Amino acid sequence: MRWTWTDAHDAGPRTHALVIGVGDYFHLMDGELFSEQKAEALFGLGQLTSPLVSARRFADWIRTSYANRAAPLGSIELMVSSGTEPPPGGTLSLDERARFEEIRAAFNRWVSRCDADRDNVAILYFCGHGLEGSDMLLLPADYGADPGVLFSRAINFSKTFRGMLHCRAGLQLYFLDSCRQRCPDQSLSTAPELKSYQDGKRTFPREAPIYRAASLGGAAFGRQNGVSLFTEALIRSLDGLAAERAENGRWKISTGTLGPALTRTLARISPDGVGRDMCQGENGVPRDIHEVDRAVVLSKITCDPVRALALAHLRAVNQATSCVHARSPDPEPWELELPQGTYDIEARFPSDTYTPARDPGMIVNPPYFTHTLDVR
Amino acid sequence: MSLLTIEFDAPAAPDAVGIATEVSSPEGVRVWLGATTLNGPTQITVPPGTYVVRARLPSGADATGQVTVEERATVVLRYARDDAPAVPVYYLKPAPHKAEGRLGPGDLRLWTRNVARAGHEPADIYRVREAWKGEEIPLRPGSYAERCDVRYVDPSAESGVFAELRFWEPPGRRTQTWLQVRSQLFAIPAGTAATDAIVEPAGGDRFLVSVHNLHADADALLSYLSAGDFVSARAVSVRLVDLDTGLQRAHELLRTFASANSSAAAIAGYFIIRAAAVERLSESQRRRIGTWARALATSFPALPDGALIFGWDALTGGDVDLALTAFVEACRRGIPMYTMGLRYLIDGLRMATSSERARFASSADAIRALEWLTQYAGLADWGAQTTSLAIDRPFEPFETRSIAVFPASPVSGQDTEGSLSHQSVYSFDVQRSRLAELTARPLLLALEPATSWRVMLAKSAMRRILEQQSEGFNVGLLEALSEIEEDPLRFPRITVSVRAAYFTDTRLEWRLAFAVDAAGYTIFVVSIDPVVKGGRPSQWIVPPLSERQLAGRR
Repeated sequence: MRWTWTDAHDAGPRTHALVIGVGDYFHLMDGELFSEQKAEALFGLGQLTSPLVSARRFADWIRTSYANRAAPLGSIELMVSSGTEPPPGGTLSLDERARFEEIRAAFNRWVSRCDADRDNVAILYFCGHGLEGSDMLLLPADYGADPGVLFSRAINFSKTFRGMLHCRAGLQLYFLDSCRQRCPDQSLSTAPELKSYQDGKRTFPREAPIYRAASLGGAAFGRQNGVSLFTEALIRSLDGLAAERAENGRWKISTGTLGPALTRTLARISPDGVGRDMCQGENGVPRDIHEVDRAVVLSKITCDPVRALALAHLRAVNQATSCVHARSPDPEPWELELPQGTYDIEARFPSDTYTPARDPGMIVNPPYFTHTLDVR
Repeated sequence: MSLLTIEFDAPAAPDAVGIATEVSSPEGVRVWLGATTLNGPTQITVPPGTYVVRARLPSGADATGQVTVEERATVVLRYARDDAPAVPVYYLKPAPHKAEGRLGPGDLRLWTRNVARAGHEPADIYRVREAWKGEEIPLRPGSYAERCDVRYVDPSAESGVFAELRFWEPPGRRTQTWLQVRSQLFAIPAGTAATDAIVEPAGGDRFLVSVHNLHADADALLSYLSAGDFVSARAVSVRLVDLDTGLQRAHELLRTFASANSSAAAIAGYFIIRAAAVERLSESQRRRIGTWARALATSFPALPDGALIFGWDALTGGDVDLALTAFVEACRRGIPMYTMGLRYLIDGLRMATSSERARFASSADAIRALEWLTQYAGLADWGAQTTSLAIDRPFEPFETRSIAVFPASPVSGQDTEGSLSHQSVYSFDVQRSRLAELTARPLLLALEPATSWRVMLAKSAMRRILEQQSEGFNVGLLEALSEIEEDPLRFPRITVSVRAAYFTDTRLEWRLAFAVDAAGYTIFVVSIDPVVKGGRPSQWIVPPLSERQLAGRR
């Protein structure tokens, strides 16, 4: 299914997003065409349920929440491997299934839109299977359709990334919500790219971070028919966990803050933790991505000694709003998200156990906050 | 304004390593971002008020404090890791994994190789390099393998660490060192100072080796870069890469044996590639980077990373030929010692070989180099900071088939200014059809920097001496090159002999000259400028050919 939304007032720098979700793999285990023609190399891969939901959720977020004054939303193209309820508005094509050629065509349209202005923002999101060896490959729905040509229907992301040096968009954001299963096969690099690097052709300086859902060799986690952990962490980060105060006093999310926030958030919600090689890019000159009204801070409150937590009634009271966050006794440290502000933090105990503690005026600032109450 | 002092409560803190630290107001406005030091106070001025001070440790952990400043105040950032062994470097690295595992005798092996060995026969210089030398590292604390002290051993890794090793870089900067742990091979990018490596279990039959440069700032910068924390990397980078002051600190890493540190220099180079936003720098800053990168490439002939960083700088500047040359040279030296270097080398070779502008784009060497490298890329652990390969024996070196364009290291001698008694001669075979290409190709020198270095010959004097002492060298034949190009099939194969090599001062833009004897032709080849300002004129790029060999040539 392909869903496209375009802003009619298309003037000046714009943000253009291409969102791809592939859950149906025709030639992999349990795929529609698996019994007729299975992929030559299966790598143990099968069908996925999370990509459709995740891609849909991310497209929805961009459509409704994305805020970039320098480059307002110009277009979104959502391509998924099967039908899902589309976001409101836009145009719909039900025939397309996120096959290689369909993705290539969508990619070319997206590049063409991104190319229109040097200050454009290009967003590419992919959720589906990924392989990685000397190059990183993203697998479309028809991966494995060509017998005898192993990776002819796989997207060589590494080469495509280089090819995007020719794209004029100065800020390019790549979100790869896929496993990075190791594949030592040298023929990986034979997978075609969606855009080629051509020396002699003009290239443009860019800020182009790549945000990945997994470390190399690692798995990206998703919930059955639910949003993947990476996409959830991404949206929560964009919604405020990655915010920092801009010079104009507003809260902004930039390429400098998104990676660390994404890693921290994913570490908190992921069962296996995260690696430190998930955010990579070029140059790393921070560029603003998005603005929010308030910053949210990943917070962790604990006691010294830690065993006191099992008896502690914990509270964090916002001094400005008097909003109270509270937790009942639990042996684990209290992990929560607090709106940025100044808090009074306290621990109370049953009598004759530990000393109650109250630390007033604790500043809770992004990107994260940890506090230990001394209750000895 | 008020004075805010930032200190760390960090027992066993290493040297004055720079830690990225920010100070923000209760409203979340950042009022200061810079480098503080782990083992000493850092003082900054701020308006009176209350602040949050947050240090981002290279390990990924942080240390945070809150302070109210009136006239002056001190905030102590507490950082204590219960889970880390009492090894200072753990302030800079993530905590060990504490996975289960066990090492036994024979599981640790040290592999070393001389990449640019001096004193061998000239004809062998590019074809026969010293083979890998393997040696078992005993699993006993206090034991010693060649160039490696065993400082700590726990074969069951109950503390999360199997072993801590200290490597010593032998003089000459020509040695590559890799550590084998069972069926994994880990690069040990040793500088001239000692380098520590910690072997940890990673679950199953896998291991991790984290390498710690004793230049702690380099270590910290690498950690920030590897984690994609460019904000912190930039905050501390000035301690290594002083772009605003002419890269003097970066040059110090190359210059003298006292301060030279090849791995720290490579990390500085990776910072420049990855996070310095070169396109935003001034023209003079870019030129300085180019000069420095070239010096990096030539100062450490055993370091593939130096050549590839120089190649990237050339590629960024649009000189595809030079980039390709440098990338091939990097492969000739070996697999990059840093994982990000492996990625840059693959990307660089791909980009350069696909270039339509590159004269040598179809160079068989470049294509072979890419193939050679790709076979190892699939076996690399891309999450590691230093290169780690899932192979159980050292890689086979890449061999160029044509002239190596980075000649080997100089041979020390005691010659004096103006003397040609040391005249160096080097010979190798090239395909006739490639002669013109080779003679036009930029050449880079691998020089040993020294404290004093004199300009040896003026250009005209060099010619004169060449003519006088080189038995009829005809320097005018440089112009004849085009004739040879037009008739490439006249000889299927030509033996080219470099008869003399000189290097001069880059400041004056003197150039390196080779006298080349090609099957009856004598061609005077002028290559691009040499690199190192400083050094001794006695350091020639090629070893002298014996009289017998010379006679044979004639």
